[in-house]
Amino acid sequence: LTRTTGKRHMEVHFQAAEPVLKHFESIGKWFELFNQGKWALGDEKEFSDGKKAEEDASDDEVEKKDDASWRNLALDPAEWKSQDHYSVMGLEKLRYKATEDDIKRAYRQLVLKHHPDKKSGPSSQADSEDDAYFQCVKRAYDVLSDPVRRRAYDSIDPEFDESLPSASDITAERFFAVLSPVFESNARWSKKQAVPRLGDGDSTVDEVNDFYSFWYDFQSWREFSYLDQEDLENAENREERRWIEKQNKAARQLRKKEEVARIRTLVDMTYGCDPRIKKFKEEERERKLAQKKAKEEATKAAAEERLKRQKEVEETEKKRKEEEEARLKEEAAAAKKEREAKKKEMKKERKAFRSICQRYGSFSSSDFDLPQRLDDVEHLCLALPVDKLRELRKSMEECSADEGAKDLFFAELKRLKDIEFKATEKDEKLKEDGRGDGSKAVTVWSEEERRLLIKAVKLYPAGTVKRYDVIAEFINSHSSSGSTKPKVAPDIITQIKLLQTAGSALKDQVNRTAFRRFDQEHMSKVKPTAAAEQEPTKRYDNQPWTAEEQKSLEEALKAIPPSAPNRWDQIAEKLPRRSKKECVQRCKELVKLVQAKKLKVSTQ
Amino acid sequence: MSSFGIYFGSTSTSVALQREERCEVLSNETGSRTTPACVAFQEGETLVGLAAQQGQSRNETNTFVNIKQFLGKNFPEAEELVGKHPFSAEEVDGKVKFKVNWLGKQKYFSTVQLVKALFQGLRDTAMAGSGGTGQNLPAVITAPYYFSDIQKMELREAADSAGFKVLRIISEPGAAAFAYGLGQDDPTKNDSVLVFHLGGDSLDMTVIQVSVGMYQVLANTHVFGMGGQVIDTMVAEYLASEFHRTNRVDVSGNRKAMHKLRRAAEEAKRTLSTSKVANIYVDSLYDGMGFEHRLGKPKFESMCSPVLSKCIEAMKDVLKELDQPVNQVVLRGGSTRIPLLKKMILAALPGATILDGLAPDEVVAIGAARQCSLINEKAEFEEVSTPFKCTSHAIIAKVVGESDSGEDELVPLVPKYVPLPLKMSHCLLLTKAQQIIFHESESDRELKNERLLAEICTRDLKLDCSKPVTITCSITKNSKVSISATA
Repeated sequence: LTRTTGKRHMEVHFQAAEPVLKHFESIGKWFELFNQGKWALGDEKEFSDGKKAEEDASDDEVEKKDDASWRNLALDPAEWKSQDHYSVMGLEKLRYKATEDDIKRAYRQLVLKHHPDKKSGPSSQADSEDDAYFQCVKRAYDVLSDPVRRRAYDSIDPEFDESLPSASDITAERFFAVLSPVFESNARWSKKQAVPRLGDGDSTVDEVNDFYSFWYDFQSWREFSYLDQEDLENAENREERRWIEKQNKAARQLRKKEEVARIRTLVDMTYGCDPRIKKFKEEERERKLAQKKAKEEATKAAAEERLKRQKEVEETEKKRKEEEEARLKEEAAAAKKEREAKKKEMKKERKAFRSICQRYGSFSSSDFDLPQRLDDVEHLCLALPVDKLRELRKSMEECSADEGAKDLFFAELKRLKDIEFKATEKDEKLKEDGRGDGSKAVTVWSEEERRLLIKAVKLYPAGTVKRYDVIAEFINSHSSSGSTKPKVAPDIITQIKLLQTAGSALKDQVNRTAFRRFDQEHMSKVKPTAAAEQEPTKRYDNQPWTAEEQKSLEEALKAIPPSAPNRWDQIAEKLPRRSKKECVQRCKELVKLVQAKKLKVSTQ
Repeated sequence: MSSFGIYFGSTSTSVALQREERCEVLSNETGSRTTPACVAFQEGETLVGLAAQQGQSRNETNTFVNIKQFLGKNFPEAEELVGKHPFSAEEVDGKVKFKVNWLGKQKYFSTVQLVKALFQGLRDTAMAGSGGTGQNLPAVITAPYYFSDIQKMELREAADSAGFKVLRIISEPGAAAFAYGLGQDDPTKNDSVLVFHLGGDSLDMTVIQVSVGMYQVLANTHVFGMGGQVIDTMVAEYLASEFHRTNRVDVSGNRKAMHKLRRAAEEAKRTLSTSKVANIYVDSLYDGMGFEHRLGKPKFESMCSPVLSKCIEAMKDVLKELDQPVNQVVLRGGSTRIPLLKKMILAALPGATILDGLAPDEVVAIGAARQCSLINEKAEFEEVSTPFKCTSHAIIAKVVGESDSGEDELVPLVPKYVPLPLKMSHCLLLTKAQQIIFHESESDRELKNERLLAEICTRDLKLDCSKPVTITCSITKNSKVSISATA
């Protein structure tokens, strides 16, 4: 074991294990190298780890290259500000990546070579060039060795490509290829290192979001003080210095703003064109759509459910209503039935009462007060409630004697009349107060009025316009007793009904009384005239038909058919004593007779 | 400067041309990029390639196939092989001579002469493809890994006499691996490559260790009578039985008919590598009767799967003895186009990558042409394969002390089995308080049965921590190691 220790170099030597023999295929470039003996000689770069070796070798390269290239730079120390300091220092490969050490070392080497003090011999043209170069080197070193100034210089690195790809360059398929290098080159300005990469088409949402949030909050250390127009040190006084400072500051800010805008434009453009963003958005949209759809479906289902429930409620409601209606109907029917039964009972009772009254001859003592009695009976019938009526009737039936019944009847009538009288009195009073209702008062009909009524009814048959009003008018205007209350249509109707129900008896009675009264009033002075008038009233045409004539008429009627023309003329010819008109009249009478006979037969 | 690579197989041959950075396989006069390794003599004419193959059924005794197998063989060995073929051979002056009916007369051709005829055909192709003329086309020829020196010598003799200037004879599996550039760009990469060859009638399996860019064969097997022709025969027999079934005629005894069927079977086999069904037509197979059949892929695969599983068995046998798993598989030989085989290989070697980007019957020629372009003609090279002195152990540096990871770092400096003498460099980033301890190890990557050799302390060096330290290792032929560290 031997060990040699040097300053920068160290070696150890030893004996390794015995070599073995192996066959190798005589194939490949490594074999060729070996075969040509080149490999063993150790072209060491070939075997080293590639990149590291290159870096390692850069020291030597710098020295070698520099000598050849610096003259091509055409340097002028006066123009130092525009020169590329890295090229001057021979660090154009490393540029902003060069460490402080690199710079220092490069400077020292250059000093060794180009420092005027190191030169010997007479100066020449080449030497002056060399001096100029050294001036530049010094300037470059001044800038690059000071971290602040170096940063300022790095910020405006002339080699940096500030351009952004145009939007037309960024197509979907070339998106990553175009933009990745741009972002990578711009990443060097970031204050925070470990800049997220653009990634590729398979990047996750988080990665992409990280990327954009980083670049949207991009913090750049880039500053533009190197480009300051005026130098502070040239200022003559404080004011000027301030003015220069102000100018510079404004210029820097403007540039900084431009830089920020540039980065912003880049990121905006990238964001706008990013196929991943589109993809994510699309996915998000789809997700939302799906959610919305689900929600809609849910609400729809809920609505349907509600509708169903409502329907159910409605149905039960409907059922309930129907039941209610049926019940009401039933009740109404029952009520109606009851009412009808009551009515029927009333009717029956009234009929029975009337019949019992009729049996007692309506308690009339004479023909004259018969209508009055009939009226009373009707009055009782209508006015008394059913139970009272029944009571009365029963008590009347129970009475064996006529008188008892009559007493009962009149007692009842009197009682009723009293009540009515009181009621009318009250009515009167009410009327006086202007609030009475005349129609309700029971109107009293005189004999004359009833006659007039009958006449009027005949005069104004059914179908006359406002018949009862007209009848009432007629009665009122013709009635002699002006004291009585004028009749109105409802009075007429009730009276007519009364007359109708009372039957023909009452009517006859009325007519008869009227006639009798007429007789009594006019008998004395009319009697002679009546006798004289009896003769002319004996009319020829009223000659009674003899049996012979009757027979010949019947024969003629049979012989001449109804279809024959001038039938009645021919019949009349057969009967020499009769005219055609008499024949027709006789025929009609006969027909009526036959019909009455037939009716009589059928009723029996 | 054009460089040729020639693949001389037992059933097919191909020639590739490397010009500058481009390598192409040249197509012959029939437009095909592979030429059947077939020579025929007919009416005073020497036919090579497709023309000879197509006339085979009519001119069996004068058509020679599988000539490669006769190279370097003495008569008893050759006689055995000849028995399988319709042509005949005799022993003349202790050498194998093939009998040829040359215009009614008996003529004798030696193996080299037959091979020369084939090479002449290839030379025509090469000249047509490169546009060059004249003799001495620089070429690298491939031979199987098992070829002996005599066999290689005869091959070289035949190629030289055909007008090539043979720069080197390389092994076929090595050429195939080299065609894919294994270990060339990154010599530190260590690969274990299986070259799987299933050709016309041979199966070869070679495992190559690629280390520091050098190819070292670890294992090799060779099985004759296994390959595409076996499959063709099986399919042909099946077709014959089909014909028998449909037409009630047995053609299995009829050589001509069987030959036709075999050609049809081969065509169907090629079709089935890409499509699902092959339509087979043979006009007037027997007695004017034609034959038509639709062969589906499943049927075909069921027929050839016994053969293929045998191949896989052989592959497993080879790999069993290795202590390192194979991570790359190179396919060569036309029969490796069968998709089922690829599936079976992948199933057997789950961790491996199959390299099949190049045509399997052209890959060897491409590798040879590439090699040809690398060879500097002036550099001397001893054809006779002699072993190289190699390192028997790997040298591994162990970095002890403060490091970023806090752990001792192992840096393999020199792997084992690297030819001597050598000089290798590494770059290490070191801090001031570290020790580099050098070990000899039996394993390339880890310390195994290690032996301490030496150590370097970084304190002794004037270190610049931002710069890597270059460690150079040089070993002489006598295993004298010197390691230097330069800051």
